[in-house]
Amino acid sequence: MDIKELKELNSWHFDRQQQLVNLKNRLSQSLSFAFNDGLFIADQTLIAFINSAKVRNLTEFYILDSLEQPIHITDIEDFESKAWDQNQKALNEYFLAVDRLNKIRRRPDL
Amino acid sequence: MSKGFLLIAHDTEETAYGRLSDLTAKLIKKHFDLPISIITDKFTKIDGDLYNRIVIKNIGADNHRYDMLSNKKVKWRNTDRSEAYDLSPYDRTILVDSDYLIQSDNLKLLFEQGIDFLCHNTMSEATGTGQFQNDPLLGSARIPFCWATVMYWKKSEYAESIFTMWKHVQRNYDYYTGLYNLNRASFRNDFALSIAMHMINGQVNHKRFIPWDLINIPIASEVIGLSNDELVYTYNSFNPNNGQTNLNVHLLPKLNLHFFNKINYERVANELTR
Repeated sequence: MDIKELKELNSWHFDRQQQLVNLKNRLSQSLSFAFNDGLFIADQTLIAFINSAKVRNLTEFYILDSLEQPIHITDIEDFESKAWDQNQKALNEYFLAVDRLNKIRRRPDL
Repeated sequence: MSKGFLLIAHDTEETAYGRLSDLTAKLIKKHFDLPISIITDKFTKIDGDLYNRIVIKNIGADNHRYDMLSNKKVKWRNTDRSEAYDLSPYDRTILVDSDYLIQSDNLKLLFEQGIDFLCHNTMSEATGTGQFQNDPLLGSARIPFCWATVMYWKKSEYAESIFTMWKHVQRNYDYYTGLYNLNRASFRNDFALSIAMHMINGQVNHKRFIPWDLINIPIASEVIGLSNDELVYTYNSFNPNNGQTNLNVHLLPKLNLHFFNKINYERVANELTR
């Protein structure tokens, strides 16, 4: 591989990584949702937390949102449903975008 | 409780901020069913039909900033942002820069949460060329950096206190930039807001910021157009100092983007609103 090709390869990887960064930024925005005046990130941690409350048969609980506000959750089913919907909608979009990126083999396709 | 968007535009000899605001207003209308107001002056040209309320103000003191593209100092009329609280007709307001490209409705979440004032603390540079330092703490005092580019507030004692303190810091800018050891070359709303927020929050660092990054497109980058659908861009990054253009081409998935290159913003926003 000559220096021109190496430079091209380096640029290709730079482009690809930057696209991933931008996709992750989009994912981070897409995972946000509002509930009971709180702003939450619908990630795996939140969903696991809600699930643990359900396993304990709780009917309500308190949680810190992403702005560090304490939020009182009284409708756990609705909260879980919103978190799951937001998570899967965002992840589906991210999955498709990353899949498309992974299939690109030649730099001009970027 | 009324909700709406607020823009601020003052034309300068170099930049038609009124025209940029018109494009931003069109993008807001594309994604939100909310009224839009603008704070401007009688010399700035705007399309009045786009706004529900137009607040005409006298032009404040001229400020200057260095423009990398023209390699000279250009005028910048940014001194009335701290008055936005008093001038907004809404109970809940989102203020965005006139060069903020809106491509989604995710800002609606700000209206649905309980904190009375929010802005960005962290940023990400969409080009990856390292033209910005993503430091969430400002200066040697290490206070949280507050971007004044996108702000949400609800009419409340807390939000009013921030704007009151912001105006005070602005009036005594030399003193406060000296106290916090910040570059005082030209007045920056980001600095004044950061200092005001730090004081109003009891000089304690906190995490009450918009929980995603402000995405910046630095001045030495140029979005070159749409591709496939309206959510994807490609762009060149170039170095205006030596004229070099690299051929990096990236995709920008439906992110709201803050452009530092005003000419480029106008072209891209025009394409999106066509």
